[in-house]
Amino acid sequence: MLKLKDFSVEHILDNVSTTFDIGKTYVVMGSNGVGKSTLLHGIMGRPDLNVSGEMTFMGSDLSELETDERARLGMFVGFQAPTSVPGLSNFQFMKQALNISGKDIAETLRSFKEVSAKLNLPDNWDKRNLNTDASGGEKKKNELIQMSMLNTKLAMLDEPDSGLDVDGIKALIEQLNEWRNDNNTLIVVTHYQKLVEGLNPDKVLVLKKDGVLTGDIELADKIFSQGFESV
Amino acid sequence: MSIDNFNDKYYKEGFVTDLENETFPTGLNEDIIKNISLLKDEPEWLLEFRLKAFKRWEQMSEPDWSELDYDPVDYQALSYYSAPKTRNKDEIPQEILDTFEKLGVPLHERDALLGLDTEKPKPDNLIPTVAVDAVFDSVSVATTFQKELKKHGIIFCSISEAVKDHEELVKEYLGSVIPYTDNYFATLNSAVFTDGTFVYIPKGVTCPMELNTYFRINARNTGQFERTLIIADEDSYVSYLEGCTAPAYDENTLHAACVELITKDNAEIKYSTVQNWYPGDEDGVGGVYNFVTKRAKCEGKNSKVSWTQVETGSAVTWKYPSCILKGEGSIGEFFSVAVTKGKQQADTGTKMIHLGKDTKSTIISKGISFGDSTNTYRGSVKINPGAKNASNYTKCDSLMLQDSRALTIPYVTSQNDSAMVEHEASAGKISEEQMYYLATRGFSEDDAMNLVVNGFCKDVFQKLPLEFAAEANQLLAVQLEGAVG
Amino acid sequence: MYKNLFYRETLEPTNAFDSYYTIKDLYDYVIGDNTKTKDYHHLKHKLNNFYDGYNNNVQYITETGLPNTKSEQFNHANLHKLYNKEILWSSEPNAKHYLADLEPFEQVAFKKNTLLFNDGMVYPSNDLGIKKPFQLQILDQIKVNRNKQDEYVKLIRKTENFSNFTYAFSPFLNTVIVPSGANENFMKNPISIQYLNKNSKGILECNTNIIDIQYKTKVHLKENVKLQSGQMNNIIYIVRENSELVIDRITNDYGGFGIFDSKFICHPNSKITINFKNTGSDYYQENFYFDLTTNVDLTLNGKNNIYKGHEYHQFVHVDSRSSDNKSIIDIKNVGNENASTSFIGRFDVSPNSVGFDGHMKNENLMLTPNTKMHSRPILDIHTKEIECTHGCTISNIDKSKLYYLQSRGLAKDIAEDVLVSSFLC
Repeated sequence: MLKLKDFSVEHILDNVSTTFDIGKTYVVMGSNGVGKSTLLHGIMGRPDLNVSGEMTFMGSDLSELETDERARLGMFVGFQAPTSVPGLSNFQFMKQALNISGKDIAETLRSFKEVSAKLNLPDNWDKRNLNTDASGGEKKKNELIQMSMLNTKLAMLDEPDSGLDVDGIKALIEQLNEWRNDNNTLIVVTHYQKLVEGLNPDKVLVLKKDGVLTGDIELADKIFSQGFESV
Repeated sequence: MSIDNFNDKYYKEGFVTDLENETFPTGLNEDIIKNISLLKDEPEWLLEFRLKAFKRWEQMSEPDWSELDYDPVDYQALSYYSAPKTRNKDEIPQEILDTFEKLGVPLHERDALLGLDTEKPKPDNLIPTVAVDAVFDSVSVATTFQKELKKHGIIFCSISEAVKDHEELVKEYLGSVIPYTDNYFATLNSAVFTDGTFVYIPKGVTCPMELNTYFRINARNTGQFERTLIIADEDSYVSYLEGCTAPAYDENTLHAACVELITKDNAEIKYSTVQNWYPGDEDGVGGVYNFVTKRAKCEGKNSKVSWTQVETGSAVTWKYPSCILKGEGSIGEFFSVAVTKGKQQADTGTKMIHLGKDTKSTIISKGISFGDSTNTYRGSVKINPGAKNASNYTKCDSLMLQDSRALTIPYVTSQNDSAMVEHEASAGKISEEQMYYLATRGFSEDDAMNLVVNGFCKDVFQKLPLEFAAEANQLLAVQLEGAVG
Repeated sequence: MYKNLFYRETLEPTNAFDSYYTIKDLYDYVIGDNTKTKDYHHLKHKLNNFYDGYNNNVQYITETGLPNTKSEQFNHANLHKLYNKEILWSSEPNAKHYLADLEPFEQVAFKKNTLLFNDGMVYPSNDLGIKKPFQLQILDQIKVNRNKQDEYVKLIRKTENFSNFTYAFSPFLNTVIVPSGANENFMKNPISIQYLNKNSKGILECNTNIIDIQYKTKVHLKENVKLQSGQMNNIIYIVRENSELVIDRITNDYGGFGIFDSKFICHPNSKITINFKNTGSDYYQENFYFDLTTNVDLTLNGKNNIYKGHEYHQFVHVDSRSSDNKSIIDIKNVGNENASTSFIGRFDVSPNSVGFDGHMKNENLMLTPNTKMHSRPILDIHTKEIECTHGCTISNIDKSKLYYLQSRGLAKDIAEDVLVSSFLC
């Protein structure tokens, strides 16, 4: 799905080479500030990041593409702190992003309300302003709804668990399980053990200052019991 | 892009109607005024009102405290009356009908029955949604649904008609909210106004349809000075819309109107404006000078006036729709979106004057600027000593899409300790963060910008009546083309 | 070494920014009528303490011309009040004798690190008078260092507010130069600056000073203004590259009136923090003008509890010329009975002022019905690459907070005092 070769972000990441395969789930860990968010946003093409190296998504060379073009290819990044756009309601935003009209609107609104209900969001969530005046957890859930409803093939979620309570985490895991299949890829950045266990990832990547370690869930367990220094 | 192409693309209303007008010679003196009064067959008291105003105007000088920079108006080079020669309200000339159809304003009652959109088929017994008074240059050429409204006791006619048919009402209220001495342009208007709309809603009546006045300037080198008077008697309600356009002339055209609103106990007037006067070309040549005085007097207890405006046109806009909150518990609201681009300048805002107890006012002003334009919010909130428990909330935001000039000048004065005034303002651009976030959801740069700007204006747009909201959105989209970068 | 690193190149010289009171007003009241007479002799007689070297200055004031700005109606009413009090001439000294009538030099005799300004003269405490490494250098009427002083005189620009008047009527221009490098010395031992005027019959005393803070220096100034009759101050602070200036200013009223214009010329990478407190007076105006070059960090905090019947008016102007300037203006005013306050703040952000981060806030607490408070925070922005907010509020004490305190046993008036103090914190 996504292939990185000698992928670097100036001042932050150096020569990361790894492949994310279709149908698999990956967990990315690392101490604070090591560059996990930068990795995701560098792949997505955030304008302030100076990126070099190769990035290929489903055969397309990403370096030529703008962020919105990458999104339309099916790449999705769930923000750590979702940006607010006042005056724009959650559903209006969805409607515009999906570019739908006519009968499809009613259908989409129904699905939207269904997913929000599953995530325990309030009834009028569709009318609430995009990421404005919402708690951290609510914003994270909003990211999930967008991920589910947009045509996402590669989902990269940046700490989707932060701000969620016990029930929220359960709902998150359920939603992710429902979403993932043999044709898409999930990458989750997290510090939360329960989430890693619930996802049962195929591979775990640990970002360190000097490089990237790869392993499976045992690597994650080791970190959880002994800290990042131990690997 | 050539000037013609520019106008075609950005100001499709810039066409001129080929029609023979009866036009007064240019110049302004007592004789001209007497002739206007004579032509309209006005009573003695109205001529006196005009002459008093004119004498006063001759001694006044144009206000110089604004930051506006415009070529001075040669008042003697304008004609103060110009009207289509063949003018009969029962048989409206085809050219005029065509003009208004091109502008999307329904003059045939049948068309109005079907609403502004004549493309979709509709049932025959549909209740009409909008009545129109069409003003072409200096006169009202058509007023629809007068009889229908008369059944409810509502008077909706041109002010010239009102002076004849409802003299007492006009005499009582004309100049009661904007005295002829008020300011330079209001004084001028009081001397030379030629037409406008008169509305009276009787006690307890909710006006069943939207009332709309559409102003169209067509003749060259004339000024348009209309006078509107809306009176809402106890427990009544009316929603009034004002639309306007003008041809794309190279000279500046002056539009100095006066609008007076009066609300009695528990009455409410909702006044919406979508202003799209010709803004001048990209070099700042031509364009309308929109110097307007609009004021509401909330006389009655618990009465309410809401001003909602979308200003996208005119070379220079200078207006402060205001509310005098006299009645106890009265409410004044001001919602505005002002877009300036090219060489446009806007100095607009409101004055909320709290006289009575428990009065409330809300001001939401959104300015969008790009090109070499200047976008100014100037507002005044005054809490007088008697305004116990008064409250005001003001929010002004300036969104700069390109380096232009955004000015916010609020005057906030309070003389009552139980009142509460709060004012917040911000200025900035669309954040890169927002643009990136929207890009990650697949929006192109243009689409993302439109989305953010619409969200920015939402608070104001949702105060507009439905028909106007759609028009406003469209107008905004046209204005924003080419703003990115 | 004294080259002027700072000059206007990006903006056209503007007309008066919204100055609340203009020179015309005070000029009219001093002369006593509204006709524009340029009769210096008439002026001479009206004011005491008129020095001989004055003619040039008076000429200066007439040359600058009378500005065209308008002021609101009630300004004139206030100045009329002063006029009626005849403070400017022939009145009996005010009964509030709070300060012993010591001569200025007596006032500083036993102090350290102190400068006293009175009627255009500067009186340093003994430890400051001598030129040593890391000592202040004072250019006043005694030292004959014309060349240096002339350089400084060039910094005085014509404006359309009262600074012109103050400069014209200041007998001498005093300059204090704070040398580079003595950071610890100046921060640990703040320099105390006193603005004092004599409690004599109807006088108007003026000071024009320049305080030049050299490169890479940190200075802490503790300013104390004591108003006994008419006092007008026009102080220009130059904060050079990489320097830091902290000012704590307290104004005490003893029955006087005055206008204090502070102008700050902020060179690149400088940091300015000003904390001031004022209780107003019969008539007091405190203005701050900031010229920010680039990368300047400015904080202005005002906590003013304006006493019964007092007036307090303020004009703050931030002129951001180039990139990455940061300004925080936070002014809190409390209005007691019959007080009248006003605040006009203006952020002028030039087209080159990319990255400007500015926040202006004026909160007003009105305690009684016969008070008048006015706020006018203005933004004039010429570039979109900025983040700018402003806000103002005028209201009384929050009734729910009052109730909460009373429900915990505090008597109403004590609870009110507590809330006023917490407001001013």
